[in-house]
Amino acid sequence: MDASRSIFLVGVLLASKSEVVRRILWIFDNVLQYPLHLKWRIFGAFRRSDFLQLCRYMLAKIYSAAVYGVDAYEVEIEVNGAGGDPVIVIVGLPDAAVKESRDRVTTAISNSGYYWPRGRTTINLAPADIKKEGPSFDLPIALGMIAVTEELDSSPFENFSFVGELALDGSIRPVKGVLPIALEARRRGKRALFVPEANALEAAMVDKIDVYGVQDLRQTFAFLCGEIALLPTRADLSKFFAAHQSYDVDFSDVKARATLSAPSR
Amino acid sequence: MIGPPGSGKSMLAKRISTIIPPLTLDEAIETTKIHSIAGLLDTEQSFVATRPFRPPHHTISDIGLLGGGAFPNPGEVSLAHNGVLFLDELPEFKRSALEVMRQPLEDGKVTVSRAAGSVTFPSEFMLVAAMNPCPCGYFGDLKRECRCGPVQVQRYRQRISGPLLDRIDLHIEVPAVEYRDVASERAEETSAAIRRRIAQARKSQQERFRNDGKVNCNARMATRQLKQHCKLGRESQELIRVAMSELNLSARAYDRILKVSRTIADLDQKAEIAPEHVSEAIQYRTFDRTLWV
Repeated sequence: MDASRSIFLVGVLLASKSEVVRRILWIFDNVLQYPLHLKWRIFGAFRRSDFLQLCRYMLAKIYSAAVYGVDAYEVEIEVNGAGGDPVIVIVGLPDAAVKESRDRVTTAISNSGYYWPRGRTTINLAPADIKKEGPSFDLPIALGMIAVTEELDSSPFENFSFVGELALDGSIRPVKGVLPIALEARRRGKRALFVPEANALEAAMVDKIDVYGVQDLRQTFAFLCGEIALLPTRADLSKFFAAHQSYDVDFSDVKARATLSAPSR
Repeated sequence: MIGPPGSGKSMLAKRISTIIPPLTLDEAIETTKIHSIAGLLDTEQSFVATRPFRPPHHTISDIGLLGGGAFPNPGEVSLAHNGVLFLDELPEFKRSALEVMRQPLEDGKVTVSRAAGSVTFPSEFMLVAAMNPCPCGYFGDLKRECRCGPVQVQRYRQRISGPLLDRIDLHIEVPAVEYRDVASERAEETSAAIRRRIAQARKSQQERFRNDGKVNCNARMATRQLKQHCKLGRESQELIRVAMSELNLSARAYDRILKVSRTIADLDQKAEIAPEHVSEAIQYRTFDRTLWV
């Protein structure tokens, strides 16, 4: 057991931070999630943090928005990956649904074939003095976590805004309040807004901003990496408005009620 | 609207939104925002292009009607913004639920204060309510006998408070429909035709409020504009004076009567308010007295 451990450590140190080693590290790290007796058999007294110390510390910034009253406000989501014990902390007055997103997001990331930071991960929802509600931060949090583990520079994302609830398999569920969010994103001068596919038409009513309806986490991330192309959803508001002016009911259905309107005449 | 069961009160209410002039784009966006926050939109209906019609059930809570919750959500009065809020079986609603509607009815907005902060939702809606004249439903009906005692009838009606009634401009009696009317093939006036007449009246109102900024229809006139635009002749003034003292109408009722008579005159395409317009407006208020013992 001692021999395999030292060989491994030497290998890690020699190759430093090459891509290959990082991948290998992840494989070992995943093995660490095995049940306890298996883990000890393979690695002896190896601690998870031994690996994580080798990873670079990372900070990712992703933008989202949330509804307050009838209007939305921008929320900046900072994800920081650091060494230490594997805990995920969400700060910035989250309610129960936001806190639960920790479990949804990690599962969705794993099931989409990505990795999440395995050290102390701090997620900050700024502004920190307004209560955050609902599951709509799942998508931006997940993207931030992937960006941290993949050591991606998140600065190109600052022109984008993301909202969406994640399912455990990584698909994206519809959320509430997409129209005010789209209006806020446009006001903030964002170039594009990523919303759940079911909400795309609703958000697309806002012009001067590209609205992308996304199906799942993998698709979103692949698009952000430039691996696939997506078409923004377009809706012509005035045309749509003109086409939907009719009602299902009509006053001519009501019999003998003409006298009610003006009894005195 | 007050009338026996099956006389078409709900049918009429459902069709009121079809004759109000169509939403402007800005109004539609405002209403859609509220529906978006409440999560009522889907891929099929991604935009509220027509005036909303909200018929909440009478078991609704104060918060459901007004908006609220730990994290403030819009209530029915806000979902009906720019549209119609229909309260069927008005006396069955909880007293407190009806009373909380007073502020949004007056101000066109509702402010909800919670731990998470205070939030203002718009609520410019048209309130339409329907009820039976008594618990059994046939009080005053020509064909069927009412089975309720006078105390029962009185108690039923007392569930609606004076202040709320004072805010309702038009009280209409909807009598039961005769067989020959139900079966008749006579073509009734269509919504489109009615809407044209209303659009005509609305146009003259917009002309009138050209310089008044936000005001765009008679209902939103402030007291100052009321003085300016609703000048009455001597005869009409006398009519209102008598009505106010005989019917014990409030100052608000006075303002409302002026606005209603201005609207009736507009529908008649008259520039001046004539006595017959005032008397029509007053008789829409008489339920205050004749039925509310």
